[in-house]
Amino acid sequence: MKGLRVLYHIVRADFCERFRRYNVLIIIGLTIFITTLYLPPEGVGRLSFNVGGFRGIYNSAWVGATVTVLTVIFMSLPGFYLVKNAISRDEYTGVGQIIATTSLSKFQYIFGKVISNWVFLAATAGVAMISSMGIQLIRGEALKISLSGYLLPYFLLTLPMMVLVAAVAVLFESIRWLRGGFGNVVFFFLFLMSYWMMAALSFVALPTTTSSGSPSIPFIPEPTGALEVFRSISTAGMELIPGYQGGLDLGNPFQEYGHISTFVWNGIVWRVPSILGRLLWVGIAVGIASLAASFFDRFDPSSLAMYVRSKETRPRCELDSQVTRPSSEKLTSITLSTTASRGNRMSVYFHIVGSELRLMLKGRRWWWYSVALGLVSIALILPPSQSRQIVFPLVCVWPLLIWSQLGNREIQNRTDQLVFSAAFSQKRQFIATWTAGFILALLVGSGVIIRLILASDWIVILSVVVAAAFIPAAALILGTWSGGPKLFEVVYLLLWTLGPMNQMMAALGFPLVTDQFLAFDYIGSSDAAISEGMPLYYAVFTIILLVLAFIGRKRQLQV
Amino acid sequence: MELIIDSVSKKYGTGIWGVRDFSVSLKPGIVGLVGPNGAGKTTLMRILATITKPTSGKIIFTGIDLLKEPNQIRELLGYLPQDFGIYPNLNAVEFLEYLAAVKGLDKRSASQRIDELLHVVNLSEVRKHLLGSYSGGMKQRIGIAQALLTDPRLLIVDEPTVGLDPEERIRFRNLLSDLSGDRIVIFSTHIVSDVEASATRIVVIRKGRLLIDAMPEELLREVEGKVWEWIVPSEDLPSIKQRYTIGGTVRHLDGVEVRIISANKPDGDARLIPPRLEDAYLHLIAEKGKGKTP
Repeated sequence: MKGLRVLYHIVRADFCERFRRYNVLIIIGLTIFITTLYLPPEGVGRLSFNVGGFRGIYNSAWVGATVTVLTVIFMSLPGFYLVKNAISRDEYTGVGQIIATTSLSKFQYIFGKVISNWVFLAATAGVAMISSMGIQLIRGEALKISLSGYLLPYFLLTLPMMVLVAAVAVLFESIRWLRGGFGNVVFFFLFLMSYWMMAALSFVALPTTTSSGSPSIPFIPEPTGALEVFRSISTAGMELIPGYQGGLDLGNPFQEYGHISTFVWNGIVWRVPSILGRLLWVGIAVGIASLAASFFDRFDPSSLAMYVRSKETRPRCELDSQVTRPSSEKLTSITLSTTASRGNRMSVYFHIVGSELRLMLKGRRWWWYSVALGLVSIALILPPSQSRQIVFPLVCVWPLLIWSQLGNREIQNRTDQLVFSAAFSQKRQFIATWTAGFILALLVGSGVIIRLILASDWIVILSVVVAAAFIPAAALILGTWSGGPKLFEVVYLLLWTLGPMNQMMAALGFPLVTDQFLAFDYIGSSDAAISEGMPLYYAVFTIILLVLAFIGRKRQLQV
Repeated sequence: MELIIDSVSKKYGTGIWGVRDFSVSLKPGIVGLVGPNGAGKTTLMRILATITKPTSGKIIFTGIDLLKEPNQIRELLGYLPQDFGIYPNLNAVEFLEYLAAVKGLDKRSASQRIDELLHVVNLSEVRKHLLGSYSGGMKQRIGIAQALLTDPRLLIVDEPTVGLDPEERIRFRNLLSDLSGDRIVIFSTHIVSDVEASATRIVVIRKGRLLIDAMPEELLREVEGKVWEWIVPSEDLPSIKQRYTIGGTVRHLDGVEVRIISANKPDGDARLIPPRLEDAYLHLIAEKGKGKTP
């Protein structure tokens, strides 16, 4: 009973802390917005999930399934980043040190954190689900609300997926080197890979030919459970839509599809193996939680010392004892004679830029520099087009964890009061920070730039310079307004994946996901992006971002 | 040189007043800003350090309006916050060089100043060690050094002795005394003994309001002839605590030696002793609070 009480209080405290934050409203709002996009009104030629150009009428089964699939796919990513602060918050606030001295076991604590993450994600998804009932009524194609249409996918798809996300978030926090920005990047690519894997699996998992009776479908373990929905829709489509040969389109709510036909889909018929398949993921989540508990260091500061990126891991008391104590005579005779004078505006500016660059690069390990040097060297060797299309996208992501500190470093390190009480820090330090981020992009991209200069490809050079200016501007605005590095890390990686990486994959011979993502090609890696004037758009966008970031910094300065 | 704080108030979004209608005029010297925890000391410090904007009121330093010209004030300001962080991957010199740059100092003269400051705060020997490996007290000393980088005319130090060992506390107080000749040093603390020896003025704040602004001698005069000391049996201590403002207790073999503040002789055995600033502070807080001193 005592254990349950402890769990209850951990969950309650975390839940209250999180649900009172405004970003919960943003996530719920976004999920509802995306759901609305995927459920366009009748007569509008935009399409949601469809099989052979048909969609289901908006009954509870279809709306419930749509919101569930969108939740398990799209909420997993922001949801992970939202809850990946349960342990680090306890460490930052010092509450962890108090918890460490209690009789609470590592497993109890970790399990409590997984449950609190889960409850939070489940509640957020629950709000989105309840809102979608409203969308069903507004669309008015089927006015009867069937609770099973909403609750079954919520319980069998959403909840197992959310418990998995909750456990993975705690695992990432329990492993020191995954706790920070690196872990954020790792999860992003894990998510991306699983998304691609699911898309690939759907070709295998979906029935492709009409057969008499139920098609034979292989069991494929997949955490979101979205394939269950797709399979059921596809199977229904084969029975009801003449000429439909199988397959499912996830749809593109921004694209006009013309006339839309409908059919009636009454939801998934849940069978025991499918239910057990879903419960399997809850078991896996428990396994991940146990693994996390074994990694969890119980807030032992000595384990943190192992990750201090320096040759100096000696205990603090030892360092303290190195300092020679002044004699009692010296205690009474202290004077300051030198006076530092103020420099002129330009020398001060360059002084801050240099200091900012040092601050950015200090503490980076040898391998970080090795890769950066490798990017410079490879860019010099490759032909200009490959240097631009293959190396420059990598240049634009390698210093991600450095850029992500821009605009929030002072808050994160609690040096804000020291820095912001300095004269003209808003102008001086803000502009210098952006300049340092810009110089960093140019330095890591210097191989590409030199290669392009040698090829006299001036327009492409301009697009490279715009990209180098855009990235720190984006980092600054997201850093100043969010007060942390996470938002930039996620949003930028998403932008990078849809833009430069998409183009890079195409240059390497992989197909483009879609041409529509040309707008996200902020580095102008394709000729099409340059001819569409993307560098110019992004140059203007950069200025707007800088102005908004400047306002954000002003807001940080005055409470 | 004068710092005029005129009817300054700060109301937070929650409707709570951090500082309310606070007025005081300060001249060069060490001003001890004293008050219980949550009295509004840090809010006032942050307002003076241009970190927080007041809801109303006016602050003028050497003729410059702090609200209108914060950057001019910042040029003259040194600030040590109560709670601050460091960049763990920089060493002491790099960290101070960074802040010197942000404060707009010339590189060469800043370098000399940093050398001297590191010597003064007794960190010269570990100047090349990363700040991440520093103890709490060492970080506090780095904070003190950065506050003095610009040779400030207005030095604001918020609970600066937290984390310092006794030797460093004395060293720091001496440094402030040395500096205070031609500048205003505002030393915020809830430990009265920190400012007892060095403060030229004592400003007491309570619940965001100014309780008193006086010379230490004036405060001491208030409790002259009111501080008593005698030994009582341990079991009598609770009832004495109920009746009097206690200035301190020391356990002896034959009971507990109590130090109380009272206008009347509390006991036949009680003897009158010279007051300390802490007695005056306790008396003031009690009198303006619940009116406990009989």
